[in-house]
Parts: sequence; C-alpha cells; structure tokens
Amino acid sequence: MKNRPGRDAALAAVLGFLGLALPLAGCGRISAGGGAATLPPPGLSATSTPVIDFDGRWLILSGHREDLTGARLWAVRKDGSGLREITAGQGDPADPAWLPDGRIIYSDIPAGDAGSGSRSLFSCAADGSDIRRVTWSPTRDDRPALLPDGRVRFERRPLDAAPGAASLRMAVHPDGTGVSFDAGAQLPITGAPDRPPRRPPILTSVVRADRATGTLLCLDVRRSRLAAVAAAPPGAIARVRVDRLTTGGEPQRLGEAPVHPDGSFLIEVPADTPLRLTLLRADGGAFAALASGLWVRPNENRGCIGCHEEPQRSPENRQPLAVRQAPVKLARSQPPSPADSPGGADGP
Amino acid sequence: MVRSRRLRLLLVVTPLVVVAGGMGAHFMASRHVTYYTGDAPRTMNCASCHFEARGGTLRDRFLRPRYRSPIDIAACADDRLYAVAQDADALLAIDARAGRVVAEIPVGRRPYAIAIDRDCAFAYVSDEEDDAVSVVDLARGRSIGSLPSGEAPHGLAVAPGGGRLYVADWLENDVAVVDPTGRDPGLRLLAGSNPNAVALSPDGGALLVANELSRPARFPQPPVSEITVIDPRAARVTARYEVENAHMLEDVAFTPEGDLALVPLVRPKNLVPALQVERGWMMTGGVAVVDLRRGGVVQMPLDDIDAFYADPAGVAVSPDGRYAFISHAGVDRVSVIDLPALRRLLSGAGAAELAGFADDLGVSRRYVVKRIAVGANPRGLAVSADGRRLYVAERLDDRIGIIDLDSLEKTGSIDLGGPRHITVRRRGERLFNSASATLQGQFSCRSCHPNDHVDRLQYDLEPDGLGRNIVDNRTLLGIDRTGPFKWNGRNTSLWMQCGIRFARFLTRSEPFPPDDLNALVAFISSLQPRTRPGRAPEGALAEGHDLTAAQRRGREIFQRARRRDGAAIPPAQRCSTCHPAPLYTDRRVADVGSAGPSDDERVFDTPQLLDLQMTAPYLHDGRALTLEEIWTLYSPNDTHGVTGDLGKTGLNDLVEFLKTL
Repeated sequence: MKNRPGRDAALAAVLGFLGLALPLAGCGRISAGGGAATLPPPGLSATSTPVIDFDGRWLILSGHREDLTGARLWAVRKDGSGLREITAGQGDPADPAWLPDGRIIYSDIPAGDAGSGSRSLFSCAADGSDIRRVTWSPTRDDRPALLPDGRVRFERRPLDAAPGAASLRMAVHPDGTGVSFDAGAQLPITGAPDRPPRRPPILTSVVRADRATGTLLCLDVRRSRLAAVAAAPPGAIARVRVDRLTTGGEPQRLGEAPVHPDGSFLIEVPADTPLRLTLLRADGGAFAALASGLWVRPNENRGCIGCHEEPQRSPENRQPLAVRQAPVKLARSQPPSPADSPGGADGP
Repeated sequence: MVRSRRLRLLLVVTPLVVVAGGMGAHFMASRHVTYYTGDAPRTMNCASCHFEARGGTLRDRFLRPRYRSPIDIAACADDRLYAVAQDADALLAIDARAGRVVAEIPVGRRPYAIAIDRDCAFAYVSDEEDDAVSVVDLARGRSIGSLPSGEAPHGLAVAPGGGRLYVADWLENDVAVVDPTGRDPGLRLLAGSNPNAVALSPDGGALLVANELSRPARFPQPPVSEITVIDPRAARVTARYEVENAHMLEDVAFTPEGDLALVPLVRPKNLVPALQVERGWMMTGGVAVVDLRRGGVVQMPLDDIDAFYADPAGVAVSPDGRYAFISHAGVDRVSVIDLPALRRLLSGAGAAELAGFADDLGVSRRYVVKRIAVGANPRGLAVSADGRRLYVAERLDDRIGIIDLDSLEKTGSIDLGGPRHITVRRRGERLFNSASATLQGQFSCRSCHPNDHVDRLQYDLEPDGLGRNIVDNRTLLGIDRTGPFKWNGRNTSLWMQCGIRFARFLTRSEPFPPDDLNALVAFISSLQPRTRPGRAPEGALAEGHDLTAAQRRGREIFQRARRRDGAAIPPAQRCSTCHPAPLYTDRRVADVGSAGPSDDERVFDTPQLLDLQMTAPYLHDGRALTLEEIWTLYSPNDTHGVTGDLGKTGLNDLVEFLKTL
C-alpha cells in the first residue's frame, strides 16, 4: 500500500464528519442507513474516501485488494455488501467521485507516462467502460471533487514542484473543457449514506469527436497578475508563441500568432494537447513565458480574459480585434489519438 | 339466453373498441404534436398549447387563473401596505399587521407601478396597457378616475405637496409632469431609452429617472444607458449621466441624506463572443451609485466570484441610511448592502480604482453583507414606515415577503390570495424568470428578454464562428405564430429553439427536462403583441382603424403594386408580399441585400412587424438604428422593397404607417 497520508487524512475527516470511526491503517465498521457495515470490505485497503452516489445507494472508493496487484476502483453498497471492481484504470486509479450523470471521475496515470509522476483526471461509465481523459496537462492532477455548479475541482502540482509546495486549485467541466484556476468560492458537495448529496446539473458539452482542433481567444494579454505583463505598453507584446508540452521532453513548436493592438489574439490549436504560451516582443524576443499547461477540447472555443489575470476579473465589454479575422491556424489536421480519448464525446 | 350472449359480447367488444380508439387517438395526437412542434412527441398535454398558448382569446379569458403577480408595493404608516397586482388589474390593500388583503381595488389594464402621496390619501397606479394612470382614493378604497399618459407608463413619483405627478412613459422615452387635477396640461421631458422608474430626492430638489434600456447602437458600439436628472421645481433636465456598458436600469432609490441614489443594473457582455459563461462572461449584475453632490456615477458589482445574483430589479433604502436592499428577480434573493461600508470604499478609492470596480467580482463582499432567500421572482421593495421591516413583492408566488431589519432574516409572508393551482403556463413563466437553468445561475431568459420583449442588443453567438454572424435580439411578443425561428430560419419550433442547443451554447448547464421545456414553451407561446389603445386586434390594417393622413398614405405605399411612374413592382419587391397581415411576415427567408462581410448567410428570416417601434435597431444584425435607415442606408438599390421612388415625404409616410403596427 502506498503511503498517502493526505488521502488518509481526508478519509478520516470525511468519516469523522459522518460520525463514524475508521482506523487509518485498515478496516473499520461504519453505521450507515441504520445498519452496521464494514468499510472498506475485508481484504480491501482503501486509498480514498468512500463517496456516496446521488441516490444514496452506492459508495465508490479506490483501493488495493490483497489478491490483486495495483489499485482499482471499487463500488460497494452503503451497507457494505456487493463489492464490485469498476476498473483497474491505467495502473493507479484513485480519488473517484460520482458525476451527476452517473459516470465516475478519478485520477490516474496517463498511458505512456508511467514513472513521470504525471497524473490526469479521467472519467468512466459506472461499469468501468468508456474511459475518457478529462485533463491533458503534464502535471499531477488529482483529488477531483464535484462543485455545486456541475464542474469538477481538482488539485494540480507541476512535476518539478518543490517538496511541500502548495498545489494549485483548478476547476474543469466534466468533459474537460473550460479548465481554469478555481477561485475557491464554492465548496465541493458532500453527502453521507443516509443523506445523499443534491445532484448538481449535468453540464452540456460542445465537444465533438469529429473535430481535431479548438480555438483559444485571449481578450487582452496585458490583463495579468504578472507585473511586467500588466505594465507592458501597448504594442510591446507583438506576438504569442505556442508550444506543445510533452512529459519529460522538449516542447514542440506549433507556431506564432499576432497579438493585436488591443491585446487580443485568436488561435486554432490541436485539441487535447497541452500548450505553453510565450509572449513575444516585436523583435521576437521573449517578453514573458507562461507556464500554462492549457488545452482545448475538440470543437471547444476557449476564452481567456488575460494571461494569468486576477481570478475575480470579469471581461470588459468590447469586441476583441482578433475576432475580426479568422483564427490563426496552429494546428495539425489529424484527429487526436484514439488512445487519448477512448470514448469520444457528445456530439450536438 | 340471447340477452346474456349480447351482454357478454358487449363486455368483450367495448373494451376492445375503447383500447383501439385510445391507441388511435394517441397515434393521431403524436402526429399532431410532431407536425406542430417539429420535434418528437414529448410528455405534453392538451393544455400545453390549447389552454395556455394564446392569450386574449375567449377561452383564455375564462380558463386562465387570475394570478395576483405583485410587481410593486408601497408602505404607509399604521401598517398599511399597497401592492400592484399586475395580472389581476388591481391594487391590493393589505393589513400588514394582520397579514391579509383587506381590499382589492380595480385599476386599469396591466398595472405596473405605484406612487403614494405623503399623507397616504391617494395612490397613483400606472396602467401600462391603458396608457393611463389610475387615481385611487385610499380612504374610500376605490379608483376615482384616471389621468391620460404617454404610451406604456411605468414608474411614478408624487411631489411632496401632491401638486405634481411624474410619469415615466416607457415607450415614448419621456417623463410627463402631470397635474393630478388635470387643470394644467403639464409637459413632457425627454429622458433616455425606456424610462422605467422615477424617484424624488428626500428634499424634493431632484428627480432621478432610471432608463431601462440602452440607446440603440450599432455593433460593436458599447451599450450606453442613461440616468436622467430633473429639477422638478424648474421642470427641466439638469443632467444626463451616461452609464456605459449597462442596461436594465429598472428602479431607483435615494439615501435619506439625499446625496446618493442607487440604481440596479445589468452589465451585458454582448460585444464579447459568447463562448462561455464562467466569470460573468455573458453578463454581470450591479448597482449604479449616483453621487448627486459631486456629480458622477460609479458602477459597483453585486455578483461575487463564482456566485451570481441574476436580474437585479428593485431597490429600497432603510430610513436610517444603514442598509440598501436590492431584489434579484432571477435567483430569489435580496442583497443587503452596508451603506456606510460602501461609502468608505468609494471615498477611499482613486479614479482608476473606481472605474475598475465594475468588473471586479471580488469587491462586492466588502459591502454586500447578506443574501436573503425570498419567494419567486422578487421585484418591488418597500420599507415599513417605522423602518423595522422590508416588504418584498414575490411576484410569481403571489405573496409579500417580510424581512425583519434587525435580524436581516425573512420572518414570514402575506398570502395575496392568488389561485392555488399552478398552470403549465405559470410554471413556464417561473422558469422564464429564473436563472436556475444557467451555469452558476448567472442569467435567466428574462435577462435578455425584459418585459417578455427584447433587450435591443446584438450578440456574437458561438456556434457559427467567433466574430461572425452578429445577430440582433428578437422580441418574444407574438412569437407563437411566426416560426421558423432564429434569423437563419432554421429552428422549426420553440421546443427546438429552447432545447438542447440553447443549453449547449447559451446557458452552458443542463437542458430543460421535457416537462419544463413544455411549460416554458407554453409561456413563451402565450406572449402576445402589446395591446395598445386604439389599435385594431390584428394591427392598423383592420377596417375602421383611425389613421392620420400620413399613415393612410403610408398604408397605400405598403400595399402598392406600382411605382410612382406607373411601372409595375414585381411581387417579390412589394412590402406586403413578404410582410402580409396579420403578423406581417410570410414566415420565409429572403435576401434583401442586408448581408454584411461578417455574415455567412445571404438570406434571413422575415421578421413580423407588430410592435415595430419597440424593436429598434433593425435588420438581422441591428445595423439600422431607425426605420428610415433600413432604406436610406441599407437598401440603395431597392433590394429591400421598392422605395427609391418615394422621396423623403413618401418614406416618412411609410415609416409613419409602420409605427402603427
């Protein structure tokens, strides 16, 4: 069993909230729905907090079973019976949570990234089928939790983060669109076996599996918490360079696009590809590098108010100059690898 | 024996006939629904369309329950309260202490607002569909007459001595100064676009006008609304404050000191491509703080980070000046503003910081101290004379909510005695006015369709490319019979219009479940063109309608088949071909040469023309600010009907006629 003190603490905290007791090292007895139940079931070492579904019937958790190698996702009735394996994922599925449409979101190691320390969010159907990748950045994304507005909060740590460094709090739609910093104004929903949480809305999706690209619109690069960027005089930032990030490898250049006099730019980029943006001066020199890890999903039109703008900032009401021209294509035409998005996505 | 056999036969055959008949009826009903909705049959019932859809019919008159729908309230001393019952055409007198309605006083049609004189002797109620103001003798509990007003009167105020009444004529963009005795003809002062509310300062020295909509503007010009300042003693306009990137200024209230006034507003982001909702990308709610001593307006947000309070509507200030209250019609909340905290924030900020507050969602927590849950669709607010209670017009609950101002808690509500049965139309009206179906509750249908009509803004919607295919918002009044919908004419039914694509590209949340979608469509289908005094039921073309000479000439131009030189006008270029009565649309798409460089289409849906004067700007992208511009600027080669031979006078006549529709 891996040493995950943070998760054990979270597990203890939630069970404490339920008024239950569970020794961190192993199994315990909980009382749910009026009856006594043993969670996790004997022989299973939990690595996550059990999360009740919206009907108050099934708990989901991750853990190791003695007779199997590697972690799995497990579902169990709230009385402790009916333990069933959902998926072995790609080696280390963890932190599962129910989505309002009955699917499950969890963190796992992306295919081909074993040993890099990278983790991403994935979702799957309740029976473990139809696995879809949700986050696409070469970072450590984990601890997904559902927000009342239907989005998912998660934590992100760069792979080169110093030990003990605080993680970033992010939010994303369950289909992987709209990733952004989370301002923390909403608390994730919680429930208990005898008090299932209220189901948040099932967010619609603009993602189309038949599209290979999405667009990224920035309204004004100078709207930024980075002092140098915010203080840049008009015209000082002339272009934006876009690189594809890879896990452990060198970034791959996708191209450059002009930054318009109002600070806006509009680019079409390969979908499901982690991007790094660099703001450039007119002479081509780097003005500011943004450790982005941003991506767009197929057919997503992603909007940014600025480059690392203040999280409380709402957009100014003006038409960005960039949309008066077609987006600058920085995309390859081939569709994303089926292995990256095995389930595709909703079509219109 | 024979009789018994017949009985058995009857017992066997009858159920078979009933079942077969039922299956046949179900099949026919399914085909009927599919035919009319253009969609797969859903869980509808007959009442979804037939009993609720078309307002104003005889059937509707008998079957539609008379909900009270309190929209505005006023409080007097001795716990008397008066509520304008918009759907009951009545003023309700309420004993607030006993918590019950004590009298229902009939007023004119579609009452909107109330003003009461200082002695609480007389009340004035604006009757929107009568173009009049009812005068109510409160002691006698009855209407004693009405005063004529401009078109669609909304907000009212009474001068302290009762000698002058100020009426916001919503459709005529002016404020009428009226002598309640009728002896003085009064005068009308030009306000902004669609004046909605007026308020007198505590010393009677200033009258503020909140103008609901922004001035017509061509995309991508920003919307600018106006707060008009009038010197009531001199009866003249003394200032016009421009409120940039804001509209929906629906109410106004002064602080007791009279130095500040508060006007709730919405900040639309219609110029930004509508590609997401988070962070107030589509719109945010706020309040304009008018500093009357220094002169100037500062916009302050009412939303918080990831927590939105849609459709700020009514405003009231406590008599001690400690709190201001703003109702949020879309999320059933009342925001409580700590006025001293707001004053401190404003006085300590520099000019740049003041300008930056409007789009800073993190700042509201410095002065909004509480969000109080209230009933459905809160609108008008009133503080009791003793300053201890706030009354809230819970419009779609038919109740008046009561908030204790010591604890800032809702302590109860007064039932106005509306029908208990909630019809599918009423349920749809609640959905239409609720932001619950939008991500984070950021906006409702009403946010873009105030008064069930139109906000007169243009939008860059996402599905057809960023910066392309800009579309002018369209009215919902009379929409039922004007399908197909959208400017490209591709949505065959309102079910499709309000269905999954609406959720995917606008609300960004979960689509309406079938029952809710039915209810919403039932409500939208019931919306009718504005009833105007003197207008024939199907527009001015009806026989016997009294037109001016210019309007009659304009009607002849509209119907003509020959140019002034006698040459025949091809049918496709006659006005009446594409715009036939009664709705003045042939419900087809046409190329009138209006496509611009950012349009991917050349043909556009032919709009209906009823209430045309309310829907400026014109054309699919709103580029024509006036009716005249449709032909003088955008149809130089007679691509949009033949008008080139008319000359200025003839075109004026045509426009005069169109304004009667």
